[in-house]
Amino acid sequence: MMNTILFILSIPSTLWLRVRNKMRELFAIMMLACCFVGCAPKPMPVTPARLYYQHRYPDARDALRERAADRNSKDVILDNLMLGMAALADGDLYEADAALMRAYEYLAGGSINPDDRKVAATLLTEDIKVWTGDPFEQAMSFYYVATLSMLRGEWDNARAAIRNSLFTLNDIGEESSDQPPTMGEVVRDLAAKDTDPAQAARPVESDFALGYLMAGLTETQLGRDHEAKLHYDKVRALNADLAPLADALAAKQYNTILLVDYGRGPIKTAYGPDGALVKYVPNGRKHRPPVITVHVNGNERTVPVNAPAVDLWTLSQYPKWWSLKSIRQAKSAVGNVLLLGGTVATGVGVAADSDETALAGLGAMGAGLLAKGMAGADTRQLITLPHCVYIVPLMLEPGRHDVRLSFSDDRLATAIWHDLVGGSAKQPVVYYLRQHAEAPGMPRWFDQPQYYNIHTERPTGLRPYLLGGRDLAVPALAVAAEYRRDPALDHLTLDELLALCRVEGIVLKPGPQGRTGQAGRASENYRHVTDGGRVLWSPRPGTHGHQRLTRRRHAPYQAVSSHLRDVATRLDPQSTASSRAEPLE
Amino acid sequence: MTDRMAESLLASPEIASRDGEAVPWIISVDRVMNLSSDVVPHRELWVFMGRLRGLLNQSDLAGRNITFVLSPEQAAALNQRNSDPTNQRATPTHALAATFHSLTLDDRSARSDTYVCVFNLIELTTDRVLWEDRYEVKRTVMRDEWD
Repeated sequence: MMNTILFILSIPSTLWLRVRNKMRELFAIMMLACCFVGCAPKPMPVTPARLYYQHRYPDARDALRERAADRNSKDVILDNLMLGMAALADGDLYEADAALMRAYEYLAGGSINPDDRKVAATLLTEDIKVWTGDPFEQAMSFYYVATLSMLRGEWDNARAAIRNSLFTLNDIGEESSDQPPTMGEVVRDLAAKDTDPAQAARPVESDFALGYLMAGLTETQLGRDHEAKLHYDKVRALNADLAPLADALAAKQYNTILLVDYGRGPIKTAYGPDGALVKYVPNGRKHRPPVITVHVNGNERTVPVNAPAVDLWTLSQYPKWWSLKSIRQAKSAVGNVLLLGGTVATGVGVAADSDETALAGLGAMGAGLLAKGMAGADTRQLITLPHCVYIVPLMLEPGRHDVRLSFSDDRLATAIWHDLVGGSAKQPVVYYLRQHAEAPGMPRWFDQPQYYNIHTERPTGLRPYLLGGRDLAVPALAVAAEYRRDPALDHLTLDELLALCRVEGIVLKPGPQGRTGQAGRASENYRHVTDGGRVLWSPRPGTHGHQRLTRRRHAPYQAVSSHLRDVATRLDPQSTASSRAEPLE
Repeated sequence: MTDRMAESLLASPEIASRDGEAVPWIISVDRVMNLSSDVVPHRELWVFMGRLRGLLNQSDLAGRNITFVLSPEQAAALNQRNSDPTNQRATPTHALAATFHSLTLDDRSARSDTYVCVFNLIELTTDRVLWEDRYEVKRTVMRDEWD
């Protein structure tokens, strides 16, 4: 400190004037930099991610749909992935397909950042760059595209998607015996060696066990057992705990596959000088993922699942699963170096009475401060990723089943998924189950169906929801025939049911309904009639959409047209009242 | 692609040598499989087959005693829609299948995909491949840096 004071006092007065002028310029630059960094606290907004974790999938999708359609947005991939994941969990495969395939086009095609954005990223801040995520986020994105294809029984497309997740990784940094290095350690090491990260990176084969398992499963289903074996062998080599699962999949001991996303993924957090470094929290390698237990119709099933196929809390700790972040880290490092170098040069110039050297040093200090001020880490992330993913092969007997999943040390995550039906060895049925962990845990659903559709059991005497009943089945010949068993509805034909829907403005599948632009993205085109929308459809079992529709209570339908009111009036008021849905509690 | 395939199939000795007196053939447009490294929606894959079937039907196949029928899955779906489970499907004697492959060369600056679509006509009683042809197309994508 004393040395610094003596140094400042030794600067000649003529130089001080020039220094003072330069400092004014620097001050202005620093203020500008502060604006970029942002110091004021912001109120916490209700983000789509929060809605997602509160199980408010329709709200989350509404919040994301408009953003995801903006192809010029720097978050176009991120928003589409989140929208696709929310739609997948909610059971809307139409929207899941639209969103995930938009993201897939960018991720698989590789052309993401147009030149103008790249220049801007170099000159200003990486935040302008289109988000493509860290490699583990990219690998998981391909997993969701593969999942969507599996839900549709398109095993060949699932194969294509999941193979994209097994890309070569770039490994940086020395791993100690027990812990992967932090980003700070990696950067310090690179600075000490004066090496560019891209040069220091070693290409390594992926250790994404989830990808190998899914690839093996798809090859098995396509009858390509030799290719499947290569993937299963890789899994066994990577993680002995997954060997029983690989064996069961290879032996085709299933007619049903559960893909279970559990909990909340790691949180990307900025730290270090200027928040230029990032870490995934919780950090550290030794995470203990919960043990999954499966009950079918109340009876525990022994499943060959000793470990999750992927644990993202652990995976995210390894530098090979981070993007190189070269621009940011270089900026931050260069900022520090320039700042240090500038201080030294100013001192040298002053000592040598050289204005040029001193001013060059001050310029360098300014550039360094500017770079430092703008070097905050990009903490955007695919926040809806799970903590871990389990693949559960099951052999389900014919008929509907209640499948309860529970997780060790997490009582709130327990949930019963109703009305699951098994497939066959040739064409197994795949379910994607989104399990939320800890608080708020899983939503509470009634054990017994409150409403019915084609996926549930169908008691006699059902009446359509539109006419005050509890049946949410999509109009069909068989459904109309069931209604006609009720003497009060003996006139109700499929034509009349469809006509009622038409006059009420109700459509039978979610989507833009032939509209383009904002009109096509309107919330009502995607929301169910029980939820303020105009779509009467049946999400598949094993989704939050199916559970919400059939295991919760809904407000009675409010007729829009006088035609529907007239039809409802003609019905027996007593029986209508007795079958009328109770209001939402 | 489908124009060339239809031309090739019609010119094959097995088809070209047939006339109205030949043993009837019932060909199921059976299977489209995507073994490429890209996700291709099935509806798009079936467009190829639908177009190929359309082109073949436009030619004088009836005069060669050849009939096309839907794949088993499509036939089942159609019967379900029409609520007529008694509808009997003509038993196919042959299957027309297509498989999409790709060869991908990938590095950090570019990705190049060569797609090969292989068509087969298979005699179902003997599993003999009566006709096979392929169509190739190449696609290159230049990458910007991701990191």
